Amino acid sequence: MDTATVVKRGKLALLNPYTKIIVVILLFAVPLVIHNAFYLDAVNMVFYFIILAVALDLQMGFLGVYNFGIVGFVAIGAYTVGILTVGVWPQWWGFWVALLIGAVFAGIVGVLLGLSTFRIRGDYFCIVSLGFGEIIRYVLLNWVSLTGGPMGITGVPAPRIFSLALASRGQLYWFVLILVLIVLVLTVRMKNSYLGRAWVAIREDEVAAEASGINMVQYQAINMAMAAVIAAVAGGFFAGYLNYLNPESFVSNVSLNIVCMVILGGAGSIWGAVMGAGILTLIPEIVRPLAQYSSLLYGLLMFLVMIFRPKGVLGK
Amino acid sequence: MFLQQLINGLTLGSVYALVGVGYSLVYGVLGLINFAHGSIYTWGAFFAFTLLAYTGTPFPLAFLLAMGATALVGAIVERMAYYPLRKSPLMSQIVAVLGISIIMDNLAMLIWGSEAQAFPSVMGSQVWTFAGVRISLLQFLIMGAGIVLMVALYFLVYQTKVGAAMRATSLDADAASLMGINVERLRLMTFTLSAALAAAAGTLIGAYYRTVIFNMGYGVVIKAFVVAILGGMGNVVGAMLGGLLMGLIECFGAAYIASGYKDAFVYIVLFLVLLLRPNGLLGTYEKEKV
Repeated sequence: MDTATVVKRGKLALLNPYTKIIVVILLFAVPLVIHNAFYLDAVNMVFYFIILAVALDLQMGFLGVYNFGIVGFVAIGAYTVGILTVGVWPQWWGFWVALLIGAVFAGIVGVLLGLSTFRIRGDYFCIVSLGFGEIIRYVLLNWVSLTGGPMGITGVPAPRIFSLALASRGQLYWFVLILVLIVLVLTVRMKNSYLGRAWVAIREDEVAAEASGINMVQYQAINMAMAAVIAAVAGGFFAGYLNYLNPESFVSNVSLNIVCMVILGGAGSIWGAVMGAGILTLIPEIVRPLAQYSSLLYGLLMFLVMIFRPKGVLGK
Repeated sequence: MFLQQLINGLTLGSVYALVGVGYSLVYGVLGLINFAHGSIYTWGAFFAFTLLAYTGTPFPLAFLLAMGATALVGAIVERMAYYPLRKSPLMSQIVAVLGISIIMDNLAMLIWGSEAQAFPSVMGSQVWTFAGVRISLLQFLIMGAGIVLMVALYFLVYQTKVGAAMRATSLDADAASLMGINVERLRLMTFTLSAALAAAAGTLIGAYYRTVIFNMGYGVVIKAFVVAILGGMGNVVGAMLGGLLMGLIECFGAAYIASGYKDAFVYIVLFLVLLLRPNGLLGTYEKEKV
């Protein structure tokens, strides 16, 4: 059950194992050809959102839990990296240890959130999770001694491997590309493992799933933890990429944008999430000349796609 | 201090009640979280602002005209975004409505600018002091408008035929339509009504804080939701009480616990309610049927 099988069932049947390898090699070669910082920045942001959209798709598409507060986990990962690398471990390994700690911490918070909210379903959970993301943001805003409050944290060092700093846009591109590939392989494999099947069973019918011996609470907690860990790692990358953090980067609209990426591509389809992240990240860049109308167009696009393809562009 | 916060809380609470009741009604009759509620509220506030600032319309008239105009906007939104997606998956509906909400907020920004605008003074600055507690005429006005609208709404929902149809549709839309209720028309009416109430709330808040801005509705969707579940979704009286409670919690929380978390209390309340009483304070227990 590798990527190829899943892909064949989808619409990207062209991707046999050989083309896959070629595509990956081509992706790694991009910074050798493109040096323009603007393009690389745009692509890096696409990758960052692909990670988040895929993480969210685990929840929305597989389990059917509509998490509107994923940015809370991103913030936990980002601020853990920011606080630890600036204040505690300025050494090169500080970033990587902090990334790990942030992921574990977010995972624990995810499990707690999952356990405390497992009874809340559907649109209620939308709002509860939105609230979770906002609570995290209020903590960031108000716990000034730790997080710097509204000013945030500046001078977060770029990730380093011994003395090699991943400071240029191209080097960071490779870093985030590796993250994307890991996340994609992980999720595609998870989709067809017992985990993914249990999640889909719960999504389709909770009562029937429980009757078939699926421990709902446990599987929901695992799902929430997975999404949280992936989101926190993306957040850690974000901290090292931008070199500064403030609560403005973690407003609830970011969560909603990621939700829209998943829905637009088609919930339950990993490639849909990838495509949704690509489209919705690039559109504001493309229509930048129309700056003041860009959000308007964004809203219009969301609305029109839902009217004409209610299950998403790649949804079935 | 205590009495002062009580007055402030009740003022804010009567506005929250207006937002929450409309939201709760829409949830009951349309079965959907209205993510555009905040944008509709913003538009209501801006309509009133435009009438007051540019045409010098007297406040009561501007208040009613803003409600009427926003009701029309609400009707258009319902027909454009909700009606075509009635049979789509829940999430598609939510995303389409989010799209509409983004469109509305940005249109408001293009029309009225991205800066906060000063809302014209409505009632002068008459303030009474009773035993150290300051009450402004405006606070009286807000509470009064809230009470009048609430009573009217209570009468509409519990004493009229339309209200009975609304409650029937909330319980079971299919059965209601078999009883000869035109469910589609009722949904349009409910949404329009909720938009008018949101406009009233937006106008009152604009007058209270003396400022309007295009993104003033951002937090409102969540606050309205919390108010609605505090009272039990679809329960009109519950939402009224929930709104007052929400206003009190915010004012007392900000005064006695931590003012920086003023807007975060709403989420904490939300978590507690959903954990302890998922069907709302007045809600009845409903077991899922297999």
